[in-house]
Amino acid sequence: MFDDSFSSVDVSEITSAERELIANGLNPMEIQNLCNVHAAVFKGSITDNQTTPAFQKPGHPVSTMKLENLVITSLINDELLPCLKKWQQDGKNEKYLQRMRSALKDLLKIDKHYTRKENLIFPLMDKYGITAPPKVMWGVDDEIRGWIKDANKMVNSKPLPDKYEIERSIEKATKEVLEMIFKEEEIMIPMLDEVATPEDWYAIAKEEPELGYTLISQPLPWKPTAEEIAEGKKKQPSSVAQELNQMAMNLAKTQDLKPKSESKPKKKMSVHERIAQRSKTEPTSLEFPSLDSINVKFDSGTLNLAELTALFKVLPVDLTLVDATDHVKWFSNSPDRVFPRTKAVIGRAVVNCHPPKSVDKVKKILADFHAGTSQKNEFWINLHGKIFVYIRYYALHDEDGNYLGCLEVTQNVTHIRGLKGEKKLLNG
Amino acid sequence: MAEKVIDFEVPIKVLADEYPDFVQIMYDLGFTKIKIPGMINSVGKFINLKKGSRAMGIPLEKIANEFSQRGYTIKNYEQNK
Repeated sequence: MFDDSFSSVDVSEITSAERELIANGLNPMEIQNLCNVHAAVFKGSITDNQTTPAFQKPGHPVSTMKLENLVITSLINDELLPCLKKWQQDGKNEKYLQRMRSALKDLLKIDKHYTRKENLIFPLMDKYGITAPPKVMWGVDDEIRGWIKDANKMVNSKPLPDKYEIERSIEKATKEVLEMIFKEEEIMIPMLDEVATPEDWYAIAKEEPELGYTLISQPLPWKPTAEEIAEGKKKQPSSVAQELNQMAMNLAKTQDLKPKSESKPKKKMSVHERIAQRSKTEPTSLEFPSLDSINVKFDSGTLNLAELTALFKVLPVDLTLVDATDHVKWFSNSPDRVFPRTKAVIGRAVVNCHPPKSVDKVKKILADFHAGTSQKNEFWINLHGKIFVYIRYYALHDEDGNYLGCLEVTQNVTHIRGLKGEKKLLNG
Repeated sequence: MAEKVIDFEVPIKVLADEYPDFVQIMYDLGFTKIKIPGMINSVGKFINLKKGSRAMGIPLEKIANEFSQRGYTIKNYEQNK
């Protein structure tokens, strides 16, 4: 029965992948290659489910990553580079140029592959104290994105740049993409294999569909078997994991992760001011009206947990809270966030959640908040030329003026900016 | 003085721990990320010179030549990988 259901999914999975690839402009010749991959992957899980290593099972994040890498490698070695060579030899042949254009357009989709890695895999490395490699790798990912964009722009510009410039640009981009694949598979994955548990991979697998895939359709859902979970418990903690954890702890010690404001509160109010403040507002507290319910009593009213949860869902802004140690603590998970967040981000150092090129700006804002020299900051961007996004940062303080963290408020203000005239309740 | 050996199949961390000039030589060869704190202690345990050469696109031959010139004996290095 297991085999039957799997083999039928197998077929539909492959055909839908084929359709998508063709629709996306991939040379049908490559499909054959992909089918072989699929077939190999599925063969393992159908005939010998118990002994197939988890990494090779469809839907396991490592298997998904490797499948994408295979398609990307094939796109480069079997389509893009051969077409480049043939076009080089006969510069007038539009057909090869056209195929290079569509291959580069496909290659741009590597963004999803990197985004999943940066938002799901890197947090896992962080968790086990592997912090330097993901930072370095994120920087290279961003460079590669840039090189592919450059090459793509070149083949689409008019007049066409010099042949050799195009060649250099494509060769640079593809060489770096292939090197990154090697780093992912030969360095990153073995490192993670030392430390990550089946539960870790499961947590990642559940969040992957939301971020999307590169040139493959959504893989089957994967879940670790009871045996794998048991096996994972046996192997933990490996000596390397222990060492890495030790490193992380030492690092935490040297970085002094205590809330910085505890040691030197900048905005502390005088006792007099505090008493005056207290007499005006009542501190927030909890109420337990019955055994199974809790209310949060604010100075201005009381909310129960259901109300609080519902409130954050409909607030027309996306909130993310970074605590006083600059680690992500919470985000409001409204269904249509401007920037999707995954649960893997919770507990991460905020400097590790940004591409290296924007890290300095983030650090500066937080440093100013800690120092009390600034209380808010704002940015606005035009996303894909369609969505106007307004992003604000606020320093949070408790009633005594101690720094609590930073609140990010992101809002799609496209609609608001377009409002004209008036619409009144009274007008009916 | 004991013979200095660069084994291309040994983790980079082992070589870095053993030979004080290793990191600088690697840096000068183009492995610029090697000096970033935490890299040798993490990636360095999983990567040897053969893998490093491919990951960074720095030819094995160039690495072997440089270490030979610095008086190292080269081990487990075949040009046709």
